[in-house]
Amino acid sequence: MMQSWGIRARVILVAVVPAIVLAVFMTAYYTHSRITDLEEAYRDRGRAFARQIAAATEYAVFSSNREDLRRLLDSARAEEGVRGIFISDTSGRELARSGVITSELPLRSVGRSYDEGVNQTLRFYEPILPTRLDVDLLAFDDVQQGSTTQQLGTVILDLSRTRLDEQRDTLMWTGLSALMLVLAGSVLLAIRMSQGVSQPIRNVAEAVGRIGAGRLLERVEVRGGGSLKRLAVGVNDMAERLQGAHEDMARRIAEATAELRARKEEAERADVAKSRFLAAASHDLRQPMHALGLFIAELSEKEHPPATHRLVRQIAASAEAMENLLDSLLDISRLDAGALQPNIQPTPVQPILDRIANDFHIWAEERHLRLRVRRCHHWIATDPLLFERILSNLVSNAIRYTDHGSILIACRPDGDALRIEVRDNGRGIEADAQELIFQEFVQLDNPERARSKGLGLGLAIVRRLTQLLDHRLSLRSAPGRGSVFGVSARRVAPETPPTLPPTDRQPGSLQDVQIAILDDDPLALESLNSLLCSWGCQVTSAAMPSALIDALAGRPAPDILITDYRLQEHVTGLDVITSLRHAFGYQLRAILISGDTASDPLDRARTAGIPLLHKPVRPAKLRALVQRMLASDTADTTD
Amino acid sequence: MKRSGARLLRAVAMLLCCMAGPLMASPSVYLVLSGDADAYMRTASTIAYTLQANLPGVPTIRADVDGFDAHTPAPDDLVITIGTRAAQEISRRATGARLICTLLTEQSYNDLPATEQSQRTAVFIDQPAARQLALIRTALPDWSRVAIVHGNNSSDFIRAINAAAPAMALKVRTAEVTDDQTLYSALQSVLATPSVLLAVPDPKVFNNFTIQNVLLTAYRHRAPVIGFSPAYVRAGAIMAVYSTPEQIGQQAAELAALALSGKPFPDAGYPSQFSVSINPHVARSLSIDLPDAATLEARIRRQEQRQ
Repeated sequence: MMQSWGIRARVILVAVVPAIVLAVFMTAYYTHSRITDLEEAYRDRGRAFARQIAAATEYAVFSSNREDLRRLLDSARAEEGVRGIFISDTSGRELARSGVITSELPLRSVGRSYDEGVNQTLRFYEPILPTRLDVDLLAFDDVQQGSTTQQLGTVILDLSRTRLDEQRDTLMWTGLSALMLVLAGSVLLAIRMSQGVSQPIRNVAEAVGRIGAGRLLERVEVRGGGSLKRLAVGVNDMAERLQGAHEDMARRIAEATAELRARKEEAERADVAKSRFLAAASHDLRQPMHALGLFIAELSEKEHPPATHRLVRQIAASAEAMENLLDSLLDISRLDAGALQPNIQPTPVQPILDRIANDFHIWAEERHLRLRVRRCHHWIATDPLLFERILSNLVSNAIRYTDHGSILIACRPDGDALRIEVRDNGRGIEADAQELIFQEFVQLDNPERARSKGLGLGLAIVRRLTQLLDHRLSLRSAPGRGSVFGVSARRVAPETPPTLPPTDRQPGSLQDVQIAILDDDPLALESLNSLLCSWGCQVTSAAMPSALIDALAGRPAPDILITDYRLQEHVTGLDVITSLRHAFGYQLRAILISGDTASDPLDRARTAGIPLLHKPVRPAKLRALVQRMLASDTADTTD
Repeated sequence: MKRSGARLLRAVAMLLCCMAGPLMASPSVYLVLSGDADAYMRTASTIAYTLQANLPGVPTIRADVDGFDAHTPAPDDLVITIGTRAAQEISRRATGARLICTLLTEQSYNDLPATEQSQRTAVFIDQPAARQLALIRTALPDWSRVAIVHGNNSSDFIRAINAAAPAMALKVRTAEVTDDQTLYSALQSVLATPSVLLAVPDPKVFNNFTIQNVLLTAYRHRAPVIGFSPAYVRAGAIMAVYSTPEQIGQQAAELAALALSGKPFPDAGYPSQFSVSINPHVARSLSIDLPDAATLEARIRRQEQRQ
């Protein structure tokens, strides 16, 4: 227990214990000796008194004068503490008695001074002896002297102990009080002394505590000498060194932090520059690609001699490959820019699988591969568009890297998740390359970077999208044994599938649909106009909103307005839509087209509930969107 | 100091004896002391001095009873014992020499082992009953009763008193101290009527421890006490008749001289010379008019000479 004591407690202990021990010992010793003395004195007094009575009563006993004896005893009994006096002759017969002789002790016959005690009584026996008078009688001779004393009788004196006990009690209380006073005094003194001893050490301890708490400028006041001084000086030195080390470290940290910040800023700047470059590049590339795509689409609609037709098809294929490449770049830049906000909702898997099969089976057939899709009735929580993009990337990857055999798309429940797997029996991937393939621009079998094999962005996009959607991406593969890519998404309960609204229009036909288009880029405007016209639409086009309103004057109200997002004079497509809706007085259906990958237009379009297509717009996609809008026209014609 | 002096004296005597022996074969006188008490020394000195004066040729050899060889004295030597113990020891050892006992009571002498009358005599320390009664008669003519308390060994003395009393016109009343009768009650009974208490030299009754109470009791009865030694008088007795060691020594030396001159021993007897001591304070307390000691002594002596 003492190990955990502080200095002060120890000092107090050291100071108090000897004092206490000494005080207890001295008090006990002196009290005891005083009590013994007192008792001895009391006994002496009793013996002396008994002797005195024996001397006084000698003649009365000799003469058996009982009256005389009683008188003597009565006067003797007036002495303090005397309980009773009893006088017997040599044969033990009572001669006289005064007061009370306790019956607790038997009456003895003794020939010498003797005392004994019981309870509250002290009893003294004193023989009554005749006074020796030294007279050489007649004899001058020992024989004649009568050397034997003849005892005349015995005095028995009972003294009360009450007075003695009172004195003893007083003495003990006094001793106890003195002891208490000494104890209290020594404790107080020890406390006071301990302050003197422990204060410097406590000062040091407190200073060390403050230094430990980080106040490195704290110093201990150097007082006293010897160990105390060394301690204080040592603590100060330690604090000094600590402070030096601390400052040094802080400086280095600050330098390192500054450097890091500089690097980070540099990296961020580079990243921003890259993103900006990509955005700008894609935007600027997009406009001509958009127009090109639309022109090719229109060109292929027309009648051509077979040689030209083949040429057109090749041009179309090249353009599409280029568009695909550009799409991949755009996707990466959009994902990196954080422009994509996933719209996670309960989604049936089967329609997506159907579309994938539809999109890829021709390409697979061209490569003599079999593409199989197992049916799946599950629903998952995902963004259907992005999820379709993931699957199409994986499938196109599989087709691209499988030389012969088959590709299977299958779903497997995995706990409360659903894993959609794309299996191929292609070349497989080395274990140490399995992480590598998800990086940008990595193509394992394309050191020559043949553009027909893509850019190597597909899996990078897949990984970014799965991260964005919070899906889990897995890969099992071994060289020569094919690969299995899996995407796990949370399963949800199926909802009633939306029934397709009835339509009076022949499905797929856009004949005589009134479409207004607005774009400040004449090439894009022209190509879109041509495409829509080739689909049989009635198109009204303009570069400016005011021109469009003028052009529409006297014509039927447009079914759909297609407008570029960014127009001249800082007017946006949204502004135009709002003003046209106001001008026409009904909820005009509208489609926004944008070359920007920035998130701002997308967010605002989504807020306004207007679909946005990124340039270059795929003709198929545009056509599908237009058809979908026309199919759900019930609400839009109100107002 | 005394002892070494005695030893020196003895050695000188022995030396003298050895030197004188071949010249004249005269007998020696051995003084055997019971102890070194003052009374014994005084007695021995008186005997030696007196013998020296009367018979310068007779050596006196002083010895302590404990260091005395019983075979030392020759048959014609004389041994004088001083004190009761010396008398008892020498009688018990039965030396062949003739024996004079001094400084012992008549009763003690009578208790000694029997021996031939011609071989032993004594000078008692106690006074004859008649002399004591004569003192009472002379000093206290108004008192006619004598009270005596005694033990069972004092019958001879009582008889002597009773025999002498009528001649002095004194009535004697005695009481014996026994197991049934305490000293006090004995005193009470004899002092019931005004009497003179005559102390008996009986240690069973009168000893150092009883004197005070006896004196007190007597005083309470206003009875004068006749003691038997000057110390008794100092302690509170009104008077005493006694013989001093010198008086006894003188008488013993005379006896020795007679014996050495070839005369047979006389019977053992009381000392012929005596002294009287009185305590005038006690007398005054008891309102008694006493003549002085010398007067009393002279009267008693005259009275004894008349008889």
